[in-house]
Amino acid sequence: MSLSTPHLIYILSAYGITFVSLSFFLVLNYTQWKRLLSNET
Amino acid sequence: MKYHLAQPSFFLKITRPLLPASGFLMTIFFIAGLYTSLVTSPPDYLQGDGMRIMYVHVPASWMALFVYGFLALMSFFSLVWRHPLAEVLAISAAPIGALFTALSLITGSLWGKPMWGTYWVWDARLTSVLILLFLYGGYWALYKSYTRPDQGLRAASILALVGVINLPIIKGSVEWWNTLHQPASLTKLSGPSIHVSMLTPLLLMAGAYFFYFLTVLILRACKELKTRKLMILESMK
Repeated sequence: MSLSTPHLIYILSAYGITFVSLSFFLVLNYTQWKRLLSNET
Repeated sequence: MKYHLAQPSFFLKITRPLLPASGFLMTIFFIAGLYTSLVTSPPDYLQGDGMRIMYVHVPASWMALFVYGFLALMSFFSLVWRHPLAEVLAISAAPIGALFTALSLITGSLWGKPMWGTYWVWDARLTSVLILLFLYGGYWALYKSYTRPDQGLRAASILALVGVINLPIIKGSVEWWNTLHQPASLTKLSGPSIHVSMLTPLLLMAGAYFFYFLTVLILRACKELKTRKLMILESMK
């Protein structure tokens, strides 16, 4: 895939939104889990 | 399955080694999936590079349905046997399923604009997936709307079971009605009508999404179990 491909903005938006939201949700749950784990010990 | 295998203490014990393994597999599948979907897979002869959106859209749709099925099964166990682990797994899975459903709708819209000329149509497939998102939202709203969590969970579980009717509707929507959405090209009886160069990134991304679900489910379920344990200890003081 080259940078001059048509519809690049839609492809980048789809991948960007997917990976930003998945990462955000994962980090959010990981930090909450980690905090609870450190409170317990 | 032996009863002790479904005990929360056993779940916490087995998830300790399972969590890093699942996180590792998720990372590997995401790297391989991204590389094959953006670099090695060819552009489609009709859709061009726009077809690459399918590699994030289709697995998100599969997971949205899979997680709802899991949620309904756990809700059934929690309603019939009042099993604490089933309750915890259902509560933990619902937001992950809602996320996959939202991603399926957003990425589908981003594909629809260049291919159909519009972000949204009130097509049977799109509308039934939107209803699935509302079912996830309704489940969470019901669970949170009661002061006693067990009452909220019972009401939410009934909604989850009623909502199962939407799953065959989503699957059959592209065959039963005239829709703009294309019919299934992978999960059909005559075998997949997709070339292996495009099937590989699709399956790798599906694997990545599955291990993502497993990883976040373990994190959320462990957190919920520990919170419940702390609440019991607090009430005993």
